Amino acid sequence: MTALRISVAIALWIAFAAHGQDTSFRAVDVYVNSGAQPLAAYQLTFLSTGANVKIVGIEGGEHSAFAEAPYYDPKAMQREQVTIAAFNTAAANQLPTGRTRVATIHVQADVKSQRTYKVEVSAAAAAGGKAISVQANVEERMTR
Amino acid sequence: MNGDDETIPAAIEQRLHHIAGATGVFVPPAVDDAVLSRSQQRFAEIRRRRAKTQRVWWISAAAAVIVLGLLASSLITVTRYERADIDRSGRVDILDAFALARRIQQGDTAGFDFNNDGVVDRADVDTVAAQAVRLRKGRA
Repeated sequence: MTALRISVAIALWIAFAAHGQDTSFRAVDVYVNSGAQPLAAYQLTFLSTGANVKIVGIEGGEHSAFAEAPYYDPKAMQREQVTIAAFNTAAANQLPTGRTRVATIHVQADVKSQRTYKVEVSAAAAAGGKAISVQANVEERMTR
Repeated sequence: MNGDDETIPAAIEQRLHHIAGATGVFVPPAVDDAVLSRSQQRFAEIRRRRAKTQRVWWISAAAAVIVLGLLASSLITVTRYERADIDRSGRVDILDAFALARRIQQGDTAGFDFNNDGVVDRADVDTVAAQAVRLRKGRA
């Protein structure tokens, strides 16, 4: 996990150095709310529009069940769209319920331009593999 | 004379000539040739009609086979799943990787060697998950 964070930090630093002061870096937290159901698996597509937004890094979430970076296509780096997914086979009592941050997506964007983010859940399951319906949303925070 | 062989056997032709000579009936060669020519034309026409009838039958049979084949294919709907679509949902997603991981935990590994390395383990789960999140062509 430490190595991942260092890699993300280095990637952010390199990207910042390459683009100068007109570019800002943001962390977009991705939340999934599974209600009373223990969340065992999710897959969603993150899409950003406007402001020349580029994805520069992806890391895991807050709950231990999803602390590792999710699966994603490395080709999504430097693009504005990515599908992320993760699962955990632990018992239900070791999985998060309610609203939980499952991942953080780091993006690079033009400072002055407007940007919007969108997430679309394509799959989710509770412990035991039963497909469930969940809600997802994102929250942006500035990192630099 | 039998089937498609319309020529007169030599022995019969000789016998006929003999009978014709014995009866004393004189048939002018021109009339003989004319009769022969008309006979040949008639036989040729019969052969053409027979060949035409056979062509129609073959074409009809082939058309019937094609129609039956199309009808059968429309009635028999076979759903084809990708190999990694473990839960048979019609697409490969993280739930397939999740299902595979659970099966491996339970010791059910038959037929799930997706990376063809001879063993079914976490690497196969990763292979399925990577397929699930792969950027499709046409996406940004």
